[in-house]
Amino acid sequence: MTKSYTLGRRSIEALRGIDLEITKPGFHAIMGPSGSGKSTLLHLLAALDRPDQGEIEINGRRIDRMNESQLTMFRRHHIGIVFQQYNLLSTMSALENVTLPALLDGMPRSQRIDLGMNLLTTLGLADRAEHRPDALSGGEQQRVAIGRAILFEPSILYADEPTGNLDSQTSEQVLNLLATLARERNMIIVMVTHEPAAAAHCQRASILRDGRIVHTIDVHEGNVGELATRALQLDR
Amino acid sequence: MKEMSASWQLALSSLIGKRWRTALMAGAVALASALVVAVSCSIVSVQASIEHALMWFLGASDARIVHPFNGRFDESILDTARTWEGVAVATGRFGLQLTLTHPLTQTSPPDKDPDKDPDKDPDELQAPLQSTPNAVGVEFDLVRRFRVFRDLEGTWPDEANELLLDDFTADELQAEVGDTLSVAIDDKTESFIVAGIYNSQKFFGTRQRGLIEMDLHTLQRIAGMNRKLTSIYLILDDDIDAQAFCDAHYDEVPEQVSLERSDMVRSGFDRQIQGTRLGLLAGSILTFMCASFIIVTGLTTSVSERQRDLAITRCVGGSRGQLFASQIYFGAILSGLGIVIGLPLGIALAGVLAWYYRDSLPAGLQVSGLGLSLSMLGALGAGLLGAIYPAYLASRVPPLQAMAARARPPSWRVVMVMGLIGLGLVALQVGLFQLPDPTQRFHAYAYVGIPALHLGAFLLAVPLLYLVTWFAGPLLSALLRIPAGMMTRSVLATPYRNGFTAGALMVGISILVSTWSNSLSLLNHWLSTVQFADGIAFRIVGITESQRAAIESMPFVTRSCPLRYLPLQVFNRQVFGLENMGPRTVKCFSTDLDIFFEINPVRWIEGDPEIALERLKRGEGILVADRFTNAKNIGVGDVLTLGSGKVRHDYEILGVIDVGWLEITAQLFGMRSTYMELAVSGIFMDGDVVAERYGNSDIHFLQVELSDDIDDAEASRQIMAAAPGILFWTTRDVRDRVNEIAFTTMAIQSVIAFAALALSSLAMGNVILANIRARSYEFGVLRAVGGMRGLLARLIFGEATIIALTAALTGTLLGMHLAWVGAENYRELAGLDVKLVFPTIPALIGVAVLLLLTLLATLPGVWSVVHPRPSSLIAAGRNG
Repeated sequence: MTKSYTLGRRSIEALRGIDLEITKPGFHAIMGPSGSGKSTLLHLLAALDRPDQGEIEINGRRIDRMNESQLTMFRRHHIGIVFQQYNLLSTMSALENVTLPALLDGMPRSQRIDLGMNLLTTLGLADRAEHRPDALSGGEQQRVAIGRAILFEPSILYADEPTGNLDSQTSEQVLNLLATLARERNMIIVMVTHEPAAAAHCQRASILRDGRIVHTIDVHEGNVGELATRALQLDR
Repeated sequence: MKEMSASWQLALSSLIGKRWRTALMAGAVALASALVVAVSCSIVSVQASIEHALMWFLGASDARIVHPFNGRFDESILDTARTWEGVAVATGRFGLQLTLTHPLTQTSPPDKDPDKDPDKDPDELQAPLQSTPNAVGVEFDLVRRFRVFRDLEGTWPDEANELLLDDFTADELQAEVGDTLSVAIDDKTESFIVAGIYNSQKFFGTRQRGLIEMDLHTLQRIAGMNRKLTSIYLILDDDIDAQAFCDAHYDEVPEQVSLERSDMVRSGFDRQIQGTRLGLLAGSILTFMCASFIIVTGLTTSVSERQRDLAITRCVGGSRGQLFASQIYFGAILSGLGIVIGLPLGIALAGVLAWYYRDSLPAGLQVSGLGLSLSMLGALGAGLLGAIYPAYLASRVPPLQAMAARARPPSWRVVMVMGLIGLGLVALQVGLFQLPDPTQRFHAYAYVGIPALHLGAFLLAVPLLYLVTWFAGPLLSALLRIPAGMMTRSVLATPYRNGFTAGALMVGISILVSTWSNSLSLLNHWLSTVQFADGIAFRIVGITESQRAAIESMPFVTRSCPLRYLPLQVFNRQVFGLENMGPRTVKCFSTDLDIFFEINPVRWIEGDPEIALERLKRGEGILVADRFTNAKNIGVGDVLTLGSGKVRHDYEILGVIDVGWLEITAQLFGMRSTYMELAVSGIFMDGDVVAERYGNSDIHFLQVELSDDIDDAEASRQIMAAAPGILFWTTRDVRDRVNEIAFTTMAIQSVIAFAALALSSLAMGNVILANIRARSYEFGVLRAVGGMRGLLARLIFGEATIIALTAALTGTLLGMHLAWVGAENYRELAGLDVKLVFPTIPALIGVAVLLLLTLLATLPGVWSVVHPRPSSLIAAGRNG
């Protein structure tokens, strides 16, 4: 899969032939230095952008062949996205943010509220349901964003530097939550990160450099140090 | 349906989430709605009051016999009418203008106490009070079957020497029931007792003079016109159709009088109402377009500000259609709020005005169905049209925008396209102005051309913003000590938002410039025409021979020229205005042509004076004012069919002359036709020919030339004292009156323009504030890298100044274009050849006010970026 874009008058080759297959549910990290193409890859996988060449198949469906409205419906029902900046709608409460996909899908209000409250309770945010984002802490906002991403129980969830704005303790909580979701809900979670500590929560890590995957490592307690070393080397 | 529900919820969410912004934008629509409702209800209330008073004067009559040429006819026609089958009651009236004197034998009123006003002449304060109302001679025993006299104080007159005064005259004379008033006519003086005072049906615009009722035969005797009448009113039996009755007896009245249905008096008035409705419709379209500009700018800013939110919605599965619909719903909700608030507010405003002017509006507050409909449709249109572009923008937001830190740079191509569309819309308006048919041209221009022009100017504000920024930016940067290029780049980073803001702000300036330009052009035109002999005496029912003799015998009167006024219908063509809407009546002035041309500086435009004068005296043709030629290219050799009722004659035009002063003087004296219609423009005939053909030889005006050794004011005083019952104005009085009317009109127009300026500034203040808040991150970074607070404040002020200057430039250009269009309309519809004037001082004042309001609008924004710490600004910017 390739993808290039223009920046001013320059043409940037962001992805130069990526071949990635994730077949089993689990927590997968994509690591790499700045400019390696990891965010571009995530955008393509999350049906937010289209590749120049290549195929993207999710759950047996070729998303690179979908039109705009098919992509929209696919994102709504089959994909969850969590952002570094949380990206909650500032005019909506936590409950309204969590249930936004259901609102867009036309779910009746009472059903929406039930679903949203159950989810917030699971996430430990039931008492924050009516609060707007500006009244929530960073960790709470990210948990609300995760709740919004898993509302329709998608088979795949993408997280773009989900702990980039959080302190270490809160980061640990959020990463544990994602790992738990992958394990208990049988989901594929793909996380873009450049922190080895975050990647340590994953089962597998793909390391990108210059638009190509240069290493894929199965992560376990014994090789976290190797992961850190490779990531550090790449960062240098 | 599910999709719609989601869009609705999204719209509600952003509406509730930005309450203050929503309130201001809804306020803009509400004020526009309120304005349209208030104006329409006020117009309808005034019209209803005029109609009410008109109907009161006509009373219960079904038909009337009148002399359409303001003349008198023999009372024998009344005797004949009483014999007609189907006539239940018939009564005659005789009209005259009388000067009443109240000797005021009682003590002076407190405000006239000489001790309190030492500058006043004690003799003047002791002088008897005088008033010159219209007097109507009526048959007292019959008149009450026709009309109801409200709140009558005193008793009903039953003696020949008793009078009924309206409250207007009673106030002027400080007269009470039982007082004795004297009437001077020629060299006689008679005394009358005030039997009763009634509450008059005063109304705006149509009458400033009092009205008294007295015994018919007494008034005939005073006027020296026994058995003469000016009108007869008939009440028919219930089963009689008035039109059929008039048709049946049409031939039984003499040629020079008309038997017609009483409601025919409304015909000119109805045409005026039709014209007013068109004006209201065109005005409403403009008002709501302005509201729409505010909404489109507000929502566009809102969409720009919410790029990230919209992108997130797209990321989590929101479709383009849902985002598009959410903005449209937002617009619809604004419309709804505008209607809910604006309609009652407008009615309340009109109600307050109706209450304040309750004495002049006997019909009270009237709610206009047309105004309410226009207001609702306009508000809905403003909201929906204003939301379309932002909705399009919202639907085009890519989901990836959620990850982008900043907005994309503006596209030159879009700016160019916008400029071209703007120019195209202006060209469309100019093109519509070239349509050959005048009526089509007017309607196309009013309902398509003017909105297209405003929309074009609104779009052109974006490229004009570039021009102003390039030219004024460096100078302003230097003045405000802003690093070179910083402000220019900052303003042009969001050219649409800033350009649209300027576009919405331009409206007040354009109204100010166009109305002042047109008014000053008209004023210059009228003042340049007011050049005639030193003074003019006037009496609506004709100056008597003795009054004329009294004036001419004054030692300081060197020459005089009598003029007769006759409203005539033009039958064979529409000479002014639009077909079926413009007035059909022209002013016919007849005179002793030799004297007239001798004492007046008349400019011949077409025709040979010598031949024309000879043929005029033989009744072979007419002269027309140059307005005929200006408007419809009517000139020498063309034929007009003139007359009224049964009397019609064809007249060849023998010459075209410029006598604007006479037209405007007659207008100022309030001369109307018998059909409630102000006659426009003048034609000239020989006095003897008119007397013979139309049966009216009254002298309405007497032009007077004064010797150099008499002061104007003293001459006026002496003439009015020597000839009671007449009004006398000098040239200066006429010019003063023209100035007074022009400046009153301009003052009202300026209030409207400044209100539009304040309204748009209020609404745009909110947009400017949002714009500043949307750039918190940028300002935070500037502060973080060492930018001083003062620099941020100066930057924001500088940007606001650029926007205000763009608004001023766009508004001035639009205003002058509108003024040109107005001048063309004056020529086309009224035949006035006015020269375009640029109103320098009002335009400068307008620009200064606009700058001030815009800078004031930025103050909360400035405070919001200079007050917090840089980290808060950066965080606020990141979180959107």
